[in-house]
Amino acid sequence: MSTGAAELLQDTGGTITDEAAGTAQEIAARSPLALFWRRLRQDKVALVALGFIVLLIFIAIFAGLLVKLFGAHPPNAQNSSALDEFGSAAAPGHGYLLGTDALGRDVFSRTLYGARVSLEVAFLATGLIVVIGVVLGMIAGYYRGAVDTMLSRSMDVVLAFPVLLLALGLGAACSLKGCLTADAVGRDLLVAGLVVLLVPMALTAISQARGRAGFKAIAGPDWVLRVAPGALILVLGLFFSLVVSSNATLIQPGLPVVIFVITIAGWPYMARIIRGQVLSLREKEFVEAARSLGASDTRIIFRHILPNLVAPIIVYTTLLIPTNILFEAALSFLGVGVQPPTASWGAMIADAIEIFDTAWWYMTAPGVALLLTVLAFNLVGDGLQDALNPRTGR
Amino acid sequence: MRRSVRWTLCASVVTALAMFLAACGGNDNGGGGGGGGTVTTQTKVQEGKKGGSLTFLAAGDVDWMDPGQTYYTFGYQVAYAVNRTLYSFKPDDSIKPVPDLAEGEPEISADNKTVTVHLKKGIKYAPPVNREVKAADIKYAFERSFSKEVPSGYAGTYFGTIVGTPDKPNSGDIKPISGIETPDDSTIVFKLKDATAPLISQALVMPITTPVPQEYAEKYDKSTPSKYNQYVAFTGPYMVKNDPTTGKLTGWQPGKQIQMVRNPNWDAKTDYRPAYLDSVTIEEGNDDLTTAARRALNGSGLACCDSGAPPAPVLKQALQRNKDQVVFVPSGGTRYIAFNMTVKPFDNINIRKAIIAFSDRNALRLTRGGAVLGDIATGWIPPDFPGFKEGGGLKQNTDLDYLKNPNGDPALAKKYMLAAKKDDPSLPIDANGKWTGGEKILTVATNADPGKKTAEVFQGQIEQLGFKLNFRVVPQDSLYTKFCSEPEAKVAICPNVGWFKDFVDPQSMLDATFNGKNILQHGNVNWPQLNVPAINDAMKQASTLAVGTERNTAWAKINHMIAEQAPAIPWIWDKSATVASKNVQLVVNGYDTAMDLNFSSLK
Repeated sequence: MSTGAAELLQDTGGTITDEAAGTAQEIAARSPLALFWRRLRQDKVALVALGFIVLLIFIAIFAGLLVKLFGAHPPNAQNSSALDEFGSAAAPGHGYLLGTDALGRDVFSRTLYGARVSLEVAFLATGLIVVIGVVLGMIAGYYRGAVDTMLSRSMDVVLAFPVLLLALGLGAACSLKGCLTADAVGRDLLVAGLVVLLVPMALTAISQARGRAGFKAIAGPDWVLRVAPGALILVLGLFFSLVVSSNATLIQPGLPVVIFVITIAGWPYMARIIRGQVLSLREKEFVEAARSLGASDTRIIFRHILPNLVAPIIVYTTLLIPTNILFEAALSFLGVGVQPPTASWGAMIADAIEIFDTAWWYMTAPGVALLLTVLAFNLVGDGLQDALNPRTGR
Repeated sequence: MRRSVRWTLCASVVTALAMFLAACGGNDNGGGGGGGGTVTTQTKVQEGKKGGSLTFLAAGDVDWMDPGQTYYTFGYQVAYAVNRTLYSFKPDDSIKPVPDLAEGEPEISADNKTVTVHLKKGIKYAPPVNREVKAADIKYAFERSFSKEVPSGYAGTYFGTIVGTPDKPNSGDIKPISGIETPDDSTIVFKLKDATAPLISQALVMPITTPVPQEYAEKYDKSTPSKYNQYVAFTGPYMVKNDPTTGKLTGWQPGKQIQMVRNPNWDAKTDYRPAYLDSVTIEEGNDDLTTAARRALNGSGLACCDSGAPPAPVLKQALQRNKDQVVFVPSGGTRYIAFNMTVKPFDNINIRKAIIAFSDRNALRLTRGGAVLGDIATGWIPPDFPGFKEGGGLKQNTDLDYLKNPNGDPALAKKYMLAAKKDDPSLPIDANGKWTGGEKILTVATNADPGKKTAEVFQGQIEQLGFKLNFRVVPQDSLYTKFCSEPEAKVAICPNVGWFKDFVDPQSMLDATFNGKNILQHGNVNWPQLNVPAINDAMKQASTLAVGTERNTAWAKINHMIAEQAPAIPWIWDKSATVASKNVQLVVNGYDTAMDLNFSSLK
């Protein structure tokens, strides 16, 4: 197995005395996970933040139940009789724990439900960014050469866009009827899948016909890496062409647009970090050793390099989450995020701007929730970084 | 006339639409075009004190300084201070126009096909033109407004029946219009293709009748759009500061400010306007209306705002603390929620009636600030408008049960839903009168408050009836240009449309918006796409009637016929509000519903 992660976790530096040797032996007997947990436990602030995140997840999942438990009103229920004769929002009290918005909706309920949107975006968009970023980053870093050039330039192109403008443009373009119809995407994927699948096969066949060993045979040890992408793309193409309704859009207005936009804008950052790490890891002795033992690229990438990327992936992911929560809030604030009447903290803050000095509660509730959530994820991120990589600790 | 965002729609639509039906719909940031009428919440205009300077705080800029192109409330506010039209309105009477350049009432021939207007003498242009206004200048003003170089938003709509006017704007050259004759320097005659003189004579209040000196303007009119916009020759009590030699407007920095000073060639004896102030500065870029309105209320020599009404919380505070610093006037229009009658299920009249019956129009009104900002609408002829009284006033159309209860009537809505089911058993309606269909109904609303709030309240209401909406919010300008005014977009519900008067005639309120003959493929403002032959025919007949009770009654009946079709939910005849500092004697003109710079003064 690879030693990278264990090395990182165990190498705290310094001379090992006899007394310390015993302790070291004790430490060595622990799994990396146990060591990580031990370090994390010492970071009380991170633990409190983690507790807050767990609570937030609980709130997001059981928002409906909590609303009933507190006797609050459903998040989208409007009550114009709660407003005054000018249509001004009602202050906290009178059946509304945190007051109402200008439509007579319960700010408490909407704040709870807003957590759901924030976390959905946070986890889904971040998950997609991680999957895309890690896979492409590993491929670019491991294969280098033309593959790296192509992927890195793609990252540069995406990074060159002003992210917010890109997001606003995509959000606006997709916000009415969605983007990317299923039949068009299916057709494109089928073509792409065939190209990805057939080109290596054709090149292999040509090489073999000419009696050269230029391209590795499709049946070689890396067949998974060589066939799988094309096959996967083909399967997806067939799925969108045959299963999904031809008029359906893959990027539906509302939350899917937000997630799509955040993913498009965010994956290059993750890919770059991973690529840099892989460029370094691929030269390590344990990779050389695996290669000399005849391990395939697939095995080296997934069994030897990927485990060594766990720490940076976890750390960067926890830092990505609050960024994405803020990004969603910003998009909703600018009107291209989730669509009404779905409660979103960003949209609530945007709605509150005009009346913030006469209805302080309206902006305060989602504002504080957003602040605490972002703070909690950042603190947890810092804590994880310290626990996973003590050499960079505070 | 349009207000704030509505001009954006027209700017793009007008060039593409052969100047037809460009009067456009109401925007959501500020009410509508012209004002209400004799009954306003404005106290009687008092005599002011001469002298002093006033600063008006505005969010945006005028659409055009060129009187041939301006079609926006803020543009009108400036235009009527620096220009003179054939007829115009005193601030406290927006029903009866008074002669301005004209010497007296328009003379209408017996066959309703000729309108003759005689001009006053001694009215001169500001520097650098300096000469007296002639009838030929008004003829040229019309001719240039039918050219591509001067894309007027309404010339074709209201003056397209003048003999010799082109169907589409002329390009490359400004061509003479044979139907406009100037037998002498102080007489202008409009010859019409149809018997539409009553309508034309009412429309002579519009800025298109501002004289334009051909020998001075034609060099600028060779560009597209015309550069005259930067070189306007003024005739009003004020003028935008300019270079006295070239006429270049030096006092207009678009997006920043407009400096207006006295026109040295203006003769008070020829004008009914007192023009108390020495100068007016319009400070633009005050996007934050809350801050701007508060600044005006607490400051000195300030007034606000150009977008119809300051936000409700500010108004609330102002009415509680500075009541005399706020003036309301009816906006002279109706806001409504339009159903697209060509899209299912709104092709079924009982579905439409059910939704109207269910709608809580009081809740909708609260999104704009409540009762202080307008009466609940029950039709499309607004208060104090010709035809309003004849139609039953504030109770017009309330004989129709679905328009009777402003708070909504769920039992009646259920009755109509079940009636719809009876009409068409295939409709997904359950025994409780609830819609059970799963398909989402495309609803496109503005993304700016208060329109967005209105749409969300409506969304909450209609969803209680079981309908599921594909609810989308878009910028106000694309709301019209890409969705609601484009029948191909097949938007089922447009919750943020409105129509406001261009001049005081009921035909201007109903013809463009509900005549089936006016359904356009682009820039359509008959948003429900109502096309009922009986209504179209009634409009044709009513358009030929002379101004007066008979005409008003005919249009009031048409208003009722439209309501019987339940094409939309009329929900507010709103008012426009302007605020000013304590030392400002604030006067608002009921026609353009904006602060009247000719009558306002410092205390």
